[in-house]
Amino acid sequence: MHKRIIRKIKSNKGASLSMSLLLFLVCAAIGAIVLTAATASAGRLSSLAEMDQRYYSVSSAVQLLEKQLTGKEVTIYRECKTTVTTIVDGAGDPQTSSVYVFKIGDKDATEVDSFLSMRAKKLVFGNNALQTADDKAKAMKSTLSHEDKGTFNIVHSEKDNQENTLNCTVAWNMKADGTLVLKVSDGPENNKYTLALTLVPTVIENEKSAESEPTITSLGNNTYQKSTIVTTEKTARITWSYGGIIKEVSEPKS
Amino acid sequence: MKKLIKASKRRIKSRSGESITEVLVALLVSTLGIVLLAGMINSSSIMINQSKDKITEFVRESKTVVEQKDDPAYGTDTVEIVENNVSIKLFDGDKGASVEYFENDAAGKTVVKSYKVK
Repeated sequence: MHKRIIRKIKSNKGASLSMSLLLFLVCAAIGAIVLTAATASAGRLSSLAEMDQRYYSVSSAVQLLEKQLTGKEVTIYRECKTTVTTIVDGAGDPQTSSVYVFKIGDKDATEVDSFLSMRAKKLVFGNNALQTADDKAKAMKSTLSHEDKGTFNIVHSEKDNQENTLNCTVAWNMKADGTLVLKVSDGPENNKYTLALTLVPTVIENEKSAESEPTITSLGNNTYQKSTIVTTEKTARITWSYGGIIKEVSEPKS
Repeated sequence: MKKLIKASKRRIKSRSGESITEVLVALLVSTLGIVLLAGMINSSSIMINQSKDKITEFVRESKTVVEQKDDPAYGTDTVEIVENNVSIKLFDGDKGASVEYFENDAAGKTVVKSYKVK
């Protein structure tokens, strides 16, 4: 052992200058890579406040939507009164005429303006304009099965300071069963903070049909008119309840 | 290319010393490298200190917002729901969404606001 150490001290063998320079180059390169990574992560710190604002804005907006939309009931009322008129002892087919009523809440279905009423209208009637007799007859038969989607914004503008801090975009999607998914997001397109609120519907449907006693009116010359009114009523009550909030993770762009 | 590899191998295995020019060039390269590394270390230490300050300030500001949430409101206002530049109601009978908002105290810097539905 002792001899080996002495021999090592006296030895003239060693690494060449080229090798030592190469080693130095490798070490410098590793050092530079580590420092670059540190610089990049330090740069991200400057956007922390902005990220924090996004988090507060989006979570506040989701909380607002959840509080405003859950537990609200929307009633959809459909009514069709069909009068069947026949001439007693006379020839020809019975004559029918129908009168329709379509209401959502207290309003006529064509005049609804709130977000939930409009979604309920679309869910039942789809794109039906409810204008012609044919439209109305189809609307009486349609089921709650129409999808819909769109966007709106939640904005807070201070009166004395026009800075819009709360300015979230809500992309909503209604499934065929009435489930509403509202994706609330803030920030630039490539770096959004998004939370998705799901609202689950509870639908109670009622249908009843009644036929009135026939009324007979004399038309003279031993001819009589018999009228019967058939009333069909359909009511659907929809209530959306809280179905969960999840954070949306955007897919990395390839 | 093959010649270059052979020459390098020969150079690595060689036990002979370097010329004075080679040693001087090597010294120059090493000195330049050391000077650059020293600069990098200096700037990285400045960066670390700045990051530490930023983190401290960020945590303090976030804490201010959270603490304010339990105190009387900074301000109250109404939030607007806008679809295609037109204000809409969320449901029939909606009288507008009223919120309390809270701010941090970062004077002249990015103001962070938090909202609480009333």
